[in-house]
Amino acid sequence: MNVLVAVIAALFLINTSISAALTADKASFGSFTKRHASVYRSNSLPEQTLDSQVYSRLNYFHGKITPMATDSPLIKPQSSAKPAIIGDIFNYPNPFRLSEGTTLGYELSKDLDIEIEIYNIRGQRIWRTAIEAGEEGGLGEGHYNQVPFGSAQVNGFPLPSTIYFYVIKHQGKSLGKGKMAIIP
Amino acid sequence: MRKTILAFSLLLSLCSWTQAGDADALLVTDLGSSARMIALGGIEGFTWTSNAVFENPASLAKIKKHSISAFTTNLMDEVTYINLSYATRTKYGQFGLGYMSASVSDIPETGEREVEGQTRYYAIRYFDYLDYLAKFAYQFDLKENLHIGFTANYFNSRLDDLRGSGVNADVGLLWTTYPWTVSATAKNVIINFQKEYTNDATENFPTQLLLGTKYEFRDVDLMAQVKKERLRKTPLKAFGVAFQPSWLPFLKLYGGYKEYYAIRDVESSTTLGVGLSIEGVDFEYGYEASAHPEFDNYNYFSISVNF
Repeated sequence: MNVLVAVIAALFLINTSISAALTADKASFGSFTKRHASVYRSNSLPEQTLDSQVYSRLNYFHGKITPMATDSPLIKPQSSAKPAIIGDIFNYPNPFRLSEGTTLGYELSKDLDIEIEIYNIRGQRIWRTAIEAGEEGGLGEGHYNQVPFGSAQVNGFPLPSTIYFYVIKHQGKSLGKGKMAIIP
Repeated sequence: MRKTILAFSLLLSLCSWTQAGDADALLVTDLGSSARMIALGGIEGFTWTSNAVFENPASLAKIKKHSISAFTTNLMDEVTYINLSYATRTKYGQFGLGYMSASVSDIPETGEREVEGQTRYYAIRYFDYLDYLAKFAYQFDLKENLHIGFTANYFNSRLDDLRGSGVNADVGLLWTTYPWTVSATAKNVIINFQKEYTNDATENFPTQLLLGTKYEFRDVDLMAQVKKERLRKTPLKAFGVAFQPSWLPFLKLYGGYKEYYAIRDVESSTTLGVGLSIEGVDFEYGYEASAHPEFDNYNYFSISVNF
């Protein structure tokens, strides 16, 4: 009887230890993933060397991105991916003249209905547009969306030379934001 | 008096003239010069502190001997606004100095490159932006209840290695006949002066005309304002209310409604605020509702010392 109790107690201790170890591994893997995702975004080399299929199928882990092998069973299908912007949003060129315009570039995790809003330096929303899923600007699946902004979008109205802030929204929530500079 | 009204009518006609073409430069003071002013819907000209140099310089008539004001806020975690002002009363009239700036850091200069057949944008490097305005104001009394003020403005902006600068002037009138006060301000009245950049580009200074009135009724001040810009056809309206309970005289509550330009359209926002006056020191807080998905509101703080 005593032996049986000792075996049960030993099994319980082993189970507890394994659970604790797994939790620690998950936490450390999360920080590792975040660290590498940050390097991945800031370093210019990895993007150039990544296979496009790998780049397009990015797995979400703790809200950050990690490149995965295309044959990984952990890859989620596009339809169940969390609405997000993969990587950074930039507009090119920046700075730019309004008459020459700029283009916002970003990649979505999947096809999404989005809104793009522009705020002035006083924090006031001065422009917005809605883009439906499946249109340029709302395409996912590894597509790099390119949305133009310039004189045509503001009906030729001259804007002051200063900094403007853009936000990309989905269902009222911000997916990402950036800064653009208009020069005279 | 007749000449003064004639001069303002002339300025009004300038502001009625709209033209397309060059952009108007940023006017950093359009944000507001104090938490109180923002909380009142952006209504200008009814302050009793040195920040009058950013609004209607004729309001410097309200300062006692000396006044110092400071204001700061950070919008969207990106833009830092700061202003400082000082005004003093002399036997030759009232003088004021002011400085206001807006700054943004880490703006990307971008490039493009091919990644596996797709064009993608990336940050080459990051730079900073600073826009500031320095003001020198002078005010004197035309009559006991009619005041006039002038401001000389120096504008400067730095966007990376691009520099822009220029000068212009404001003029303001303040007329008081209890329970009414009327404020009229014309900003950047020298329409031929431009902001010149180091890349040989130019921008016009935004010529603005502001007409405001305040009606004092017991513990409540009711305010309204119309603001017209030269390039805009539609004037902006603003309304404000200040409540200073007689049984709690150190406390002030503010509310406001204001309109602003969104490209060619006019949008609006609501404002609230509270002020505490203790021994000549005014602490003010302003709240403004925001459409930004990450920031439901913006918060403003200012302090002024009057002695």
